[in-house]
Amino acid sequence: MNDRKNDLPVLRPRTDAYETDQATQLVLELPGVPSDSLEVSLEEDLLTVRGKLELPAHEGLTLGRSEFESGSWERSFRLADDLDVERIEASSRDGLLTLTIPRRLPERRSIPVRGA
Amino acid sequence: MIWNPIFPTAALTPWRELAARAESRPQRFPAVRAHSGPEAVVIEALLPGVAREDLELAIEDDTLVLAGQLKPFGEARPALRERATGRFRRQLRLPYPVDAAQAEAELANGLLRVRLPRAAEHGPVRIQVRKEGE
Repeated sequence: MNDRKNDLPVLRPRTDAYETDQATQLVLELPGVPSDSLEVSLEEDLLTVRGKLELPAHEGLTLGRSEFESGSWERSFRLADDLDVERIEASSRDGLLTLTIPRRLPERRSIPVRGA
Repeated sequence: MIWNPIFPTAALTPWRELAARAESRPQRFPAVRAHSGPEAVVIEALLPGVAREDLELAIEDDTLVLAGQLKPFGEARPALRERATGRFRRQLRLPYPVDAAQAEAELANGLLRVRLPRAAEHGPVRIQVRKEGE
């Protein structure tokens, strides 16, 4: 719990969500995080995204206007029962992470009706 | 509603309410961080979703201009919308004239870093005071 990296302030990525009959798609803003250090984890139906924004110190320079700082992007989503978590697809580009979670196809079984 | 974000807001917050909350905090785009020193200015900006070809940087007199376009992700209407879209333009006043030809800019993973060296001819000029009798 005293892990130093947990000292970073938590930043909440702005997110857009799209719902279609086939899938739910999440688009998260995680600027400053290289794709290979993005973390997407799933615990039961709880999907969590994490990534660190680590800004270098600029030696000899004085910080003036500061509208953001180093921190740990983090956000969790509770997924619906009809989403197929086994088939989550993740891709990232230009600081945007896109998660596509397909819906499970409803199981359909026809029941033959016998005539008398 | 099909699923709910649960962190850090409580579960079962409707999309609409979340979206309203996101809109209620006005924020200029892009968010910036500016450092200055005797020889250069370093400016960082968060530009998630902005491709290199959609970003324009310019020095106009004593101002750095960041302009571009945040393209919508797709054609569908999002069920939750927190991200901004459309054209943006932000002007940042520089503390001293800079040498635009020597400027360096890098955009990686939605984080922009611009280094603008101070223009030499506008730097402080030392005037030698002669000793008496020289």
